Amino acid sequence: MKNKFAVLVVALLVSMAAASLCPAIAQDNSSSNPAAIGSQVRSMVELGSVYTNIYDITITVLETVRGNAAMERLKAASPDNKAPAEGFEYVLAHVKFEFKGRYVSDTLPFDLGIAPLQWVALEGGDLTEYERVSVTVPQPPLKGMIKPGQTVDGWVAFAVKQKDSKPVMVFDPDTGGATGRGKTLFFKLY
Amino acid sequence: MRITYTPHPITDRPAELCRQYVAGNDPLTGNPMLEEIYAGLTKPLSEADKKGGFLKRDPRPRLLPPDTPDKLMEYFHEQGYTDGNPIILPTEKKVAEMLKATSRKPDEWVGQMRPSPPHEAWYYTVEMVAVNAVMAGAKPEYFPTILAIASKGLTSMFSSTSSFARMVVVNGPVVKEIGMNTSIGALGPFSRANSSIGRCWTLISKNLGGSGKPGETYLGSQGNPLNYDNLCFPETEDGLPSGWNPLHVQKGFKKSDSVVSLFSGWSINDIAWYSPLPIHEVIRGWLENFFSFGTSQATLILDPIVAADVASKGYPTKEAYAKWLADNTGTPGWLYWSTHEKELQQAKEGVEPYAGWLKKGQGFVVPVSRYTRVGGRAARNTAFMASKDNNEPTTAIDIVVTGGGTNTFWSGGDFGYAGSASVDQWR
Repeated sequence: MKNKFAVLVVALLVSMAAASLCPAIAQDNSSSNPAAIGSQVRSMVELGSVYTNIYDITITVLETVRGNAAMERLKAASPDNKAPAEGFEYVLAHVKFEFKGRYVSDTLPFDLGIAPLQWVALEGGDLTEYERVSVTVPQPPLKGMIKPGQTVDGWVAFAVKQKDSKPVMVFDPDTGGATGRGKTLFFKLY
Repeated sequence: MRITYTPHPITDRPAELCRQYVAGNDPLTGNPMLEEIYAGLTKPLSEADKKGGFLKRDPRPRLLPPDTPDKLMEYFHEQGYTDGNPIILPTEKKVAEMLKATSRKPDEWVGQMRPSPPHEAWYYTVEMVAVNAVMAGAKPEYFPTILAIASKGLTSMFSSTSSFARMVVVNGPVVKEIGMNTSIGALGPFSRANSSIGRCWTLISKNLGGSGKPGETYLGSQGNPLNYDNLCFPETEDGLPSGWNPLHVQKGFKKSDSVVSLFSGWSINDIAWYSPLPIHEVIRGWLENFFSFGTSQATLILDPIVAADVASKGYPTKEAYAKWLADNTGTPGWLYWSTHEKELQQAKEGVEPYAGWLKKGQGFVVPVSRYTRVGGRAARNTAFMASKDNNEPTTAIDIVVTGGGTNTFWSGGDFGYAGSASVDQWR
C-alpha cells in the first residue's frame, strides 16, 4: 500500500447527509416518518427574489384536537363555523413556528400562509391531499408574516375522513417561484 | 423530455415580439412552435415518460479505495469533481486537520444548495465542506471563512444561459488572521487565501450543490472565467478614508466581526482614465455608459488612493458617493428604450416627457437612473417615482476598497449584493 492513498469521496448525495445527521433534523422527516406531536423539526427555507439565502426554521405541532372537541372549539371561535361534510370531522392543530435568519443581513419575512402545500392535511396511507376548509380557527390563527428572530404559534384547521385514524399535515414552503423553498416536512395529526 | 426552443432574446422583449416567437418556428427544428408545444403536451407518454417520483441516486461510499495519487487525481477529474485544475487529494488525515479549525461537528448540517430555482436542493455537512476545502488547497485556518460562504446556500455557478459570475468580499479581523492579500494585486493570483477560498466555493457548488455539469446543471453559453476563483478578495479596511465604513458594517455587522459578503453579476472592468476630470466624475461617466448583462446594478472596487481622492471631493461616506452617482447618472437612450417598452409606446403616442426624450435620438442620455431601486426592485421610472408610492428609493451601487495604492485604478462591474455571512459563527 506504499504510495497509495485512500481519499474521502466528494460527498454528493442527500442520502449520505441523512446517514450522518442527528434524528431531530429534517432529513429524517418524511412522508413515511412524519414527526410526532411535540417533536421539534428543524429545517431550512430559501428566501429572496433575486438571490436566495438560507433561513432556519423549527416547527412543532404542540397539540391536536379532533372530532367533537374540535367542533366545540370552532363553534366557540365563531358561531358561523359549520359542521364538516358527511363522513368528515375537524382536526385542529396548534403549531409553533420558529424563524431565524442566519445573519444580521438576513431580514426577509416569511409568509406563513401563501404556499399551496403549506399546512395541508393528507390522508393517512396514500397521502391524498384533503381539501382546505374555510373556517374561523381559534385564536391565534397560524398565518401572516413572520420576521427573522420571531417565534409564533397558532391554530390551523382541517377536515379529515372520520375513518382516517392517521392523518398527516404537510409543510411545503415552495410557492412555485424562486423563493420560499425548502424541504417538504410531514407531521402526525394523531 | 419534450422541448421546444424559443428564439432569443426574451428578457425585456415586447409582448408583441414574444407573440411572434410563439407563432413562428422553433429555430432549431424549423417546425412551427405551437405545433411542437401541442404535440409535446398531447403525444402519448412513453414508458420513460411515465416514470415519476424522486431521482434514484447511486450510493456513494464515504471513502474511495486506496490507489496511487496520480490515478486518484485522474479519477477526480474524470468524475467532474474538479475545476479542471489539479486538486489536493482529500485524505482522511487532511480532512481531519481541516475539521480541527472549527468547533462545529463534522456531521452538522451547513446548508442546502441548488444549481437554479427549478433544481432539487442538495444538503451538506461540515465534513463534506471540509473535503472540498482540502481539494481547493485551503489551509485549515481558512475553513471557517469557507463554511460561512457555504452556509449561504448560494451556488457560484448559477445554471442560467447567461454565464453568471460571483464575487466574495471578506471583512474583519479574519483577513489579517489568515493572511489575505489586501494590498498590491489583491484581485490577482498572489495569495493562497484569496485564491483557495474563492476556488473552494466553486468546488462546493459542483460537488455539494449539484452545479456545473454543462448541458445538465450548467447552461452558460460561454461560461465565465471568474468562476475559477469567484473574484475573492478582502477589503483594505486600513485604507478606507475617514468616515467610510467597511462593507460588513454597511451590511449590519460590527467592525470587529469577521464576515464574507457575496455578490452576483457577470463581468468586471479594470480602469484608470487619466482625464482632466476628477476621478469621481470619471467614475460617474463610466457608470452612465457602462453596459453588460446586468444593467441596473453595479459594484465599484476602488483602490485606496482612488477612495481617498473621491472622499476629498466631498463624499464623507460610501453611501453619500453611491447616492450622488445614482442621482447623477442617466441612461443612454438606446439602452433606456430597449428596456422600457411601455415608455417607448407612450413616447410614440406623444406622451411627455417620453416623446421629447425619444425625439432627441438614441444618443440622448435619458434622465432616469438605472441604479435606483424602489421596494427592492430596479426603478423603471424614477422620474415619477415619488408620486407612485412611498417606498424610500435606495441605490443599487456598492463600493468596496482594495488594492496597493500604486496607481489610480478602480474596477467596476455589474455585481449586485447577495448577502453576508458571519465567519465567527463557524469558528
